[in-house]
Amino acid sequence: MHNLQAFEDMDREEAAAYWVMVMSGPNVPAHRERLFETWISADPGNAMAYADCLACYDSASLGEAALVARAKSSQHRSVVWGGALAASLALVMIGGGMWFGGLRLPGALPAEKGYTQTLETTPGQMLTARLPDGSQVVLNGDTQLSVHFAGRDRAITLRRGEAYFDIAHDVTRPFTVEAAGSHVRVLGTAFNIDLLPAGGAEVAVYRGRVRVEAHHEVRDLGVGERVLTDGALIPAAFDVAEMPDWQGGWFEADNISLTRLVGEVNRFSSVPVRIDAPDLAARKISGRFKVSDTDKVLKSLKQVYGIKIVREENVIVLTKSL
Amino acid sequence: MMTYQRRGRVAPNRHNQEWSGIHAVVRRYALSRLRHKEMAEDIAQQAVLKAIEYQQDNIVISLHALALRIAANLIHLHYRQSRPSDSLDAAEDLACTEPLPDRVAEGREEFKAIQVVLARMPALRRDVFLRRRLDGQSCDDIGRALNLNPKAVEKHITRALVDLKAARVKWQEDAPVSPVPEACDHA
Repeated sequence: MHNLQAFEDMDREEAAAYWVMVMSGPNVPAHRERLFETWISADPGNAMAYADCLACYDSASLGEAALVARAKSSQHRSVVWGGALAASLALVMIGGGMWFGGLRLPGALPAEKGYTQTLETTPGQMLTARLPDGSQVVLNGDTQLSVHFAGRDRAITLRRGEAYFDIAHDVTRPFTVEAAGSHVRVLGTAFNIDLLPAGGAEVAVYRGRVRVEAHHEVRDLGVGERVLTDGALIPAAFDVAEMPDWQGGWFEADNISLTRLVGEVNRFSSVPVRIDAPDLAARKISGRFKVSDTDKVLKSLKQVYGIKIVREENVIVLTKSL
Repeated sequence: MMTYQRRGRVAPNRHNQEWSGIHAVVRRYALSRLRHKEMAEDIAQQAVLKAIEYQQDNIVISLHALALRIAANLIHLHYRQSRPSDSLDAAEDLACTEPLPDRVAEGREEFKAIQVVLARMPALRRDVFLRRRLDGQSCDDIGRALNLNPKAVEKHITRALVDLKAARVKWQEDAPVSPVPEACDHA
C-alpha cells in the first residue's frame, strides 16, 4: 500500500490538503477512495480539517480569484493563452452540466430495483465496498467479483481472487455466492472465500452459519470451520480472529502447496511470481508469511526451503536450487 | 446529536454512530461555506438523508465523500434558485460578476485574502493549481502539459491548498459568522 506513505508523514493540515487534492481529481481510483475513507473515519480531527480545506477549495471566492489570476496571466502571455481562457470556460461549463444534471457520484447507477455491478482490484489493492442492503464486501488484491441484486435475490459471483463477506441479516432475501463451481448460501453471517489457483475454493466462516454446495454435496459450516471445495467437503477447524489474516497482509500457511502461497503473494506483488518446476509447485509449505511484502516472502523461501529466485524484467521465477 | 435510521428491512446499529460523524463533518463544511448556522444545519441534514437514501441502491466506497458532494450540490442549487435565472448567462455565472449586494463587502475581503496568496505563489504552482481548480485536469494531464511528474503535480496542489486554506482561516477568524450567506458559488 505505497499510497499510504504519501500522507503518513504529513501533519494533519497537509494530509487534509492532500486528500482534497486526491478527491477533487476527475478520476478517483476505488482503492484511493477507500484509503481516504479510512483516513477521514480514523479521527474527528482529520474529518474537520478536511471539511475546512474542502470548503476553501469549493468556495466562490477562490473560484473567482482563480479566474482573475488566469485572466492576468493570459494578458501577459496572450499568444500562449489566447484561446486558453475560452477553452477553460467551456470545460468548466461541461463539468457544471454534469454536476447539475444529476448528482455526480461514484458508481452512479440507474435507479432500478435490480442491478449488476462488477468490482475489481489489481495486485496490491484492497477494496471495501458497501452493498445496498448494508452488507459489506472486502476484496483482496487481484480479485474480481460481480454483484447482482434483483427482487429477492442477493447474488455474487466470485470470478478471481479472494473476498471477505459481512452479510446483513435478512431472512426474506437469501444471499448466495458462486465460486469455482461451488455455491455458498447464507442469511446473515461473515465468511471468507478464497479461490485456489488449482481450482476450487476455500470457504471459512467467521460468524453465523453457511451452507456450502459443491459436486452435489451439501455441508453446513459453523463459526471457526472451513472447507475446501476441490474434494469431499470435510470441514477443518481454524482459529477465528476478528478478520481474515490477509486483511493485514498476512497468510498462515499450514502444510499447503507452494502454488497456493505464490497465488497469495501475487495478489499483492506488482511483478508476478511464477513457479518453473512442477514438483516444486506441489511442494508443501508451512509458516506465517507477510504476503503483502513480496521480497520478504521470497527471502524466507530461499532461506528456509532453498528455493532459487531468478528476477527477470517482468516476472520473478522460482526454480529448484542446484 | 440526531440519529439516522436506515429505511427498509436492514437497519444495523453501527450505522447510526457513523452517520452522526458524517453529519458533523458536513455541517462543518456547510458552515464554512455559508457562514450561516441554521442554513448549514439544514443543508447537513438534507445531505445526510439523501446520502442514506442513495447508498441503499448503490455501492458507495466513501460515505463521507458522498455526503460532502451532495452538500456541495445543495449549496450550489440553493444559490442558483435564489438568483433570477433569466439574467444568467454562462460567462456571468462563472465569473460571478453579480453576487448578492449584501455579501459583496464580506465576499470582497475573503476574495482579496485569497487573491494575495495566489499572486504570491510561484508561477508554476499557480498554473498547476488553476488547471485543477478551473479545468478539473488530472495530475497526469497537468504533468504532461507542464513537463512535471505526477507526484510533483500532487505536491504543488497540496502545498497551494495548505497556503490558501491558512489565508482563508485567518480571514474567517477576523470576520464573525454572518446571517447573510455566500452569494454565489462555482462548485
